[in-house]
Formats: sequence, C-alpha cells, structure tokens
Amino acid sequence: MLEGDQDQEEDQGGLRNDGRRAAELRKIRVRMGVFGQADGSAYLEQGNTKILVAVYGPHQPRGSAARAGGKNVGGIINCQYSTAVFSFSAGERKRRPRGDRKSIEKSLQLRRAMESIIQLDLYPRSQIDVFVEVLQIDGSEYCVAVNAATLALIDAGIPIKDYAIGCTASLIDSTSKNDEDSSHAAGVVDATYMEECSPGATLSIIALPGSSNDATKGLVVVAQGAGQRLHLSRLEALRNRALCGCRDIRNILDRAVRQHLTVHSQPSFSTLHVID
Amino acid sequence: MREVILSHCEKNFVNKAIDKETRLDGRQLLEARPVNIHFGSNWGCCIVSLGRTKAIAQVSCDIQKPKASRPNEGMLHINVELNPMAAPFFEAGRQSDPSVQINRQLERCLKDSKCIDLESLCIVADKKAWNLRVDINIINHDGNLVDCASIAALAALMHFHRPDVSSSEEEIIIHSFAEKDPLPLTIYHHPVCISFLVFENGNTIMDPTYLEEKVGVAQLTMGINSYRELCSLDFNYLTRTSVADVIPTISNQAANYAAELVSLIKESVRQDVEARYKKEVKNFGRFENCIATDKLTAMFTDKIPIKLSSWGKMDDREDEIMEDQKENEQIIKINKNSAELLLLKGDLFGNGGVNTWQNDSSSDDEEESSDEVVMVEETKTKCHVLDDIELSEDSEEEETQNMTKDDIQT
Amino acid sequence: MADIPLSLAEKTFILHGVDANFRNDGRIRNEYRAMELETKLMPQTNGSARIRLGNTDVLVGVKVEVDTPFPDNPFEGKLEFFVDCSANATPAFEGKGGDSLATEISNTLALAYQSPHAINLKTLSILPHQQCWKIYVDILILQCGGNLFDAVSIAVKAALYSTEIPKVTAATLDGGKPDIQLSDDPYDCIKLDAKNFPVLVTLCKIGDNCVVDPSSEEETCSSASIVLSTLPDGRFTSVVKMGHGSLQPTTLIKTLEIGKLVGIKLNASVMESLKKEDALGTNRPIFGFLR
Repeated sequence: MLEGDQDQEEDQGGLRNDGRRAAELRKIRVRMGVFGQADGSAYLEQGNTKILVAVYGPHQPRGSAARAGGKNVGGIINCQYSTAVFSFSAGERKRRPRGDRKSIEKSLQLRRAMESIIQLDLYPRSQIDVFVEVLQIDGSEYCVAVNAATLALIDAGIPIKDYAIGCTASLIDSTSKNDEDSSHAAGVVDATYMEECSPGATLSIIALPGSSNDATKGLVVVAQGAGQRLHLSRLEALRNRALCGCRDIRNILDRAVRQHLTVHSQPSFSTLHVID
Repeated sequence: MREVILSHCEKNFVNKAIDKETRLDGRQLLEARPVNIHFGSNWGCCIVSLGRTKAIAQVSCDIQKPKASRPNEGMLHINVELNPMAAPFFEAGRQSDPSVQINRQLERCLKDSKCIDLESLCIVADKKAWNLRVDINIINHDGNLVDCASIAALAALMHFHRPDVSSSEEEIIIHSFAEKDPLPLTIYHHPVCISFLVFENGNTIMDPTYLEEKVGVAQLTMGINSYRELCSLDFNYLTRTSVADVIPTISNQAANYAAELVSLIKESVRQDVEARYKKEVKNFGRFENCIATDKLTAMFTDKIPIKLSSWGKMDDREDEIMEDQKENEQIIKINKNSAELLLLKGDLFGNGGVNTWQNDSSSDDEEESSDEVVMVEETKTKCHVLDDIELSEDSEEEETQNMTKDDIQT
Repeated sequence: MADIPLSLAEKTFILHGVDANFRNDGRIRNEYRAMELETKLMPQTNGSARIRLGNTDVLVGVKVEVDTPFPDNPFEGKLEFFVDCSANATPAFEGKGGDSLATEISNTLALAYQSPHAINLKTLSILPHQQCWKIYVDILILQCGGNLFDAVSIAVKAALYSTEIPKVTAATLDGGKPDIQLSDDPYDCIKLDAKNFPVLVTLCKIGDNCVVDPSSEEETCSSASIVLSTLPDGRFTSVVKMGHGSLQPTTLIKTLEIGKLVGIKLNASVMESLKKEDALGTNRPIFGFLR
C-alpha cells in the first residue's frame, strides 16, 4: 500500500464493507490432510469462502477422462468442480451440485491451472484426480478452489513447479470517475460476494507468482474477467493489483505448508532440522 | 468421429510461418478475416461469416414468469450449438468442453455486461416478462468460433423486434405484427468478442483459423464494446508451455478493431431494418443473396489452403472454378504481386505433392545428423580420458578431476 | 460405495473376531466407534451439522423456504432430503457415479421421517392451503469409511435440532393472496422439536452374529444388513434390508431386539451431546474442518 493513500482512506472511510483496506486479503485458514482416504486433501478458508479439495492419484487412467485421453501418452489430469447445494448465502439454494455450464467451465479452467504446475512428464499414462467441493460461497470461490487444489497436490506429494495461486481484483464501481486517486480505483483484492455483485467488474487471475519479489512479473496462467464494463485503461492496474494479491496469498500458503510439514514430519527429521 | 491430430510437419510449418510474421492465408498477424452479415426473412435472424467460419443465429421470445431474484427484469438465454454440421468431430446433443466454453464466454460478454435493457422487457412485475432466447448454430468451423458466434448473436439481437404488448389489469394482449408495429430491443452498448492466439515464439495473431488454433499455445478472448470498455476477458493456455503476458500489448488493437466491427454490424443492421420499415423488396444482404455469392458450407478437408499474399482476392469465384477445372495444383498469378497455391486432392505433401518447405527440412536433417556426429566425438574423448588422465582437454577438466578423486578413494 | 478388496484369510479373520465378540479394532459387537459431532458450523444455512465416525465424514446443511403445501396435505409443511455423494469420498462417485447410493440413502431417510410419530409436519404450516415451510435437508458425503446410514441419520438429526426457522409475526389473507411477515430479529426464531426424530441403526450380519457400526472392511464381509429407523421410545418407523443375502425369520426377530436396545441408547446419547453442546452457548469456537 502507498502511504499517500492513507489520508484519502480516512476522510472517506476508505475501508470496504467488511473493514478491509483495498489491498488487504481476508483471513486465510488452512488445513492440509483433512481426509485419511484420499491421497491428498486440503481445506482452505478465505473469509467465508470455504473449500475442500481431495486429490487421488497418480493411478491408472479410468472413467471418462481415460476415454477422452485415448492415446495420450502424457499424464491426464481430471478435475471436477462441484458446489454443495447449501453453499449460497442466506435463502438461496442451488439445484444441482454439478453438471451445469458454470461448473463445467470451472472444471475446465481448474484443469488448465493444474496442468500448468504439475510435472506431468513424470507421470506418463497415469491419471491424477482433483475433486473440489465448495462448501460455502462468499466471492472469489474459483480462485480459492485453485489455491486449495494446489495445497492438496502438495499434501499428495505430487511434484509441482510452483504454486498456482488465484486472486480476484474487483473494481467496485467502474462508472464513477471521481475516485481516480483513491486506492479503490486500482481495484480491491479478494472480493467478497457483495463486491462481485456490485455494478463493477471483477478480474480473476491464476498466476504462478514464483519466488521473485516483483509481483508484476508473475506468470499469468488463466485470466478471466466478468462483470459489467471496465475501461481498458484500468485493466493494467487491476491486473497488477490481482498479481500483488497472488503474491501475498502465496507467501501465506507457503508459510502454512512449511509449518504443516515441520509439525507432521518424523521426529528424526525435525531434530536434523534443528541441528542445521 | 475423432478429431484428426495435426502432424509435426504441419505444426512446424505453421510455427515457422508465424516466426517470419506471415500467415498461411496471407494476412498480417493482427488482421482479421472479412466479416459478412446476411439477414433472414424473420426479425432477429442472421448468418455471419468470418472467413470460412459461419454461424447462424436466431432470436426468439416468449412470455414467462420472471426469476424470483429479479422480479422486474426479463430474461436472456444464449445457447450455442456445436454439432456435426460445424465439424465432424463435434458430437450432437452433448455438452462438450468447447461448447461450454463458448457458451460461457458469450454469456459473460452479452449477458453479464448488461448490454440489453432487460427491465424494459418486464410486462408485469413478478408475473410476466419476456424471455429472450438467442440460438446460435455453427455451420462451418474454421477457427475462432467465439468471435463469429458473438457477432452473430449481437447482430441478431440488434436486428430483433419483439411484438408489442398492452396490458390491462388482469390480462395482457400480445399484438400481432399486423396490429401494431414490432419494437426493437433497447441496447445500451455493443460488445463483441475479439480473439487472439499466442504462439510459442511470443507472436500474437488475431482471428485464428482452425489450423492455427491447433498450433497456438495460449488463447485470449476479449469482449470489448465500441467505447473501449472491457466486458469479458478469457486467457487460457492450450498447451503446457508458458509465454509472456500479452494482454497489454494487444488490447489497443482489440479495442480499435472492436469499434470497427461494431460500426460494421450497426451499419448492416441499420440498412436491413430501414429497408424492412419501408417495406422495400430488397435482396441486398439476405440469405438467398449469401447463397448465390458464396459457398454456404465448405467441406472439412485435409488440405491446407495457402495464400501467399493479397488476401481478399480469393472471392474471385470465376478464377477458382477455372482453377478447379485445370485439375492440378499450380501457382496462378492473379496480378503482379499475388500468387495462389491451390492444393488439390491427392496432391498433399507426402502424397507426391510439391513440398514447399523442402529446403528447411533438409537443412534440419543436416543439423541433426551433424549433432549426432558431435555426440559421438564427445563420447570418444571421454573414453580417452578414462584411459589416460594426462591427456584430458581443458573443457573437461572438472570431470577428470572428479574421476581421479573417485579412483583414489576406491 | 468404495469396495475394499479383501482376501479370504482376512475375511475369515474378521468373521472369527465377530464370533468371539472381539472385532479387529477392539470393539465388541454392539459398540460404536468414537463420534465427533458439531452443529451450527455453516453460518449461511438455517441449520447444519458435521459428523465424523471413524473415517466416515458427513456434512449436512438445512435451508428453509416458504412454499405452498401439497393439495392433499394442506395443513402440513414439507420436508425434503437431498443426498450428494461428493467425489472427494472416492473417485467412483465422479459425475453421476454416486447417484444410485445417494437415492438409496435419501429414500431410506424419507421413509424414516415419514411417520407422524417422528416429525409433526403440521408445525411447519403457516397458512393452511396457502403457505408452509419447506425444509431442505442437504446431505454431503465427504468420505465413507463404513456405516454411512447411521452417520447420515445422526448428522440429519443434529442439523434439524440446530435448525432455526424465522418466526412469522403476521400471516393474513389479503384478498385471496397470502401476506406473510417474518420477524426482523435474527434471534427471534422457532426451533424444531427434535426429541422424537429417528436415527438409523444398521445391523450388519457377519456369520451368525450382527454387529453395529460396521467399518468398511466389515461391510465387505457381510452379505446382508438391516437398517432400522428407531425412535427414542424404541419404536421402529421403518425396517429396510440391504445387501444380497437373506435372513431367517428367527434371526430377524433377534436382530430387531438388538436394534431396539441400540437405537434407544444411541438416541439418548446423541440428544445428550447435542444438549451439552447447546449449553456451551453461542460463543463457543467453531472448529469445522480446521481440526
């Protein structure tokens, strides 16, 4: 955050509905290895968005993915994005957990994101299943799903090149021109459901932030814009904001993974670590 | 029927052409194919062709109960159908991955951007509202289905007129076109999808053909209106390599072309609508017209159509027929700077046809073979090293040192 | 359900263990595994519960909605069960793979709750013939490690116990059209009387004996099992036989006797723990999946 923004924020409140600043993430809570039966699993909470992911594999290809893969020599990644019927906020109820267009599209894009990080050349003729179950929705659910899937892959011990991190940046009201200078003009990260529904635009980015400190250098894997209208001149700022969010999330998740590994590793392992 | 997998030769050919900033159909990298719009006899019906990609769209409407969450708005449904008519590898009646993707892209571009005034489509709040349905069928698949479908959907929506309705307390009356003039939809802004494709070497092309789509590594689709406002954005990798971010560099071109395209659509819709208002018997831009001037469907063939330069001369039908009659492939000069290479059946590369990249591939072979030779030489020197450590060359000093250590230890 | 391949020797080992009243995880025949139950963990639902029974993991969300009653039951509300077998449990559930199991479970639940002794649907009526509450009970199966039916029914009971339905402050008929006003205060709500809700008890016949709460290995060994829905007073609301095997009438009666005793105890202990959790008040920490 720039220091100059602070004044601006104070005189117009400057805070978002939930009391966050523009570039502030929601509280992230992680648990890896939730399930005993799956090869890898993770539970991720970003604010009120709660997602469970299970990873099975690598195993022999089977089911529809194997048939579609056919003579594919490389590994196959099979993703399913499903939303619990009670996951919406008050009152609403989803009719089907999966199989609608939005779910299929998200499965497709999740597969793209996973393909970009998994070292598939290590798993010829095998299949890795990634199953996402959205338990509760409060905005950015697709991005949180990608983050959780990355953690589940780590838990499953599948070699990945980098974290695939998703983050949304949302311009809450793109029509108002007077707030050019305020921090909100560059968009707010990690949008909640209310912010996504506002008459602005939301950009979802899945990036491989790498370990570099320059956030804008991150490699964008999947980008998706939705919402009403966004002037092209604002796109760059929004994208950078989302990439900054990706880097922040990466740092948080990385810390969580390291902590998880030190807690759950063998005693001999940790003593070695101490000697180091 | 399975989709035919592209051979490495074909991929290399396309990639090399893109390396040299040429495309097989003679276009510039950031140049789109010509767009033709023809309207049918009904309101809201049109055929759009984008090069050889063709789509037909029809808008229909009926009255339904509005959604409980939006009681004072009409509804808009968009459905793109990909069936074997477009290309033999599409299965009929199944939600395949590409069809879901196109549907969602159009929904985001046209529905989520709120370009149509849905509130004006409400008749009685919470009870009755118009339900608009846009059905798009792809007739011929030659790449870039999204753009073609989005142009078709937008043109059809702009062209569409709904019957007038008068409502009294209890009942509503839908007037036939004979009673009251039909009403057009209110459209706030006109978004179209513009697609790009990024290649391995980082070159970006606009409006990819089917062949190019099979070779490219990343695709980008932007839904932009004429005010340079972004309505939807999709960036996806098709393969597992990565390229630099291209969005900033091409967004300007996308916006300019979108403005051009929107004015083209507006103009053709305006001409047709005005002619209909005047009840002119007009044959310009109608279906029968489009059948007369152009092939309605072009068969999916294995051949790669190549145009070396001057795109646009290809619609010279008479020339083409003459060429057809001459049977064999040959280079025909249309005018000074243009040449057209037509590859006919049985004369494909590898089937005895002329191989235009013979030089390239032969040089490749040479390089490969020379590589192998080098490899052999290296192994030889290594063997040498094992035999006698003293004779080692400078470049392999490290290795030899390691080996001596090992030798000593053992 | 995820079938676990077991060798003949393993099956014999389990069978002998059951015969000797000492199962391979140390339990006796009518002993349940340790159960973890948490309610009200999903703030966006009207009621929710999650249960972990060994490796079995079930999440239940309850949502209520105003609806019009069935014309043949104008004085009653509606109760609907929906089961979703998540692919998280096993890759075999991907796509439509879990649908047959899901229908089996939801049908069994509907059967268990069908009796007027179990739930009084009349309490869900707002305006007869016009408006009533419809309760959607959505069950999400996240992991199956045996004894799915019991786990689901306990989670459903707990979720319904925690369900809070907004209070209707005024319900009038305005010119033939119903007009309902709900209380603005989110704490002003009515709770369902969960006292008589049934739980399912699965009795799994292994060899000559019956065990309760079978693990997935034990389920593989069994050819037939009986799913009883028992009320707290020991009455059955439904008896369903699962599996391909058959039972002698005398065995069936013996099984029902065992089931009755187990059911009474299970009901009592579930209610007790729910009340205990309630006593912790609204400020108790919610663990959810983080524990």
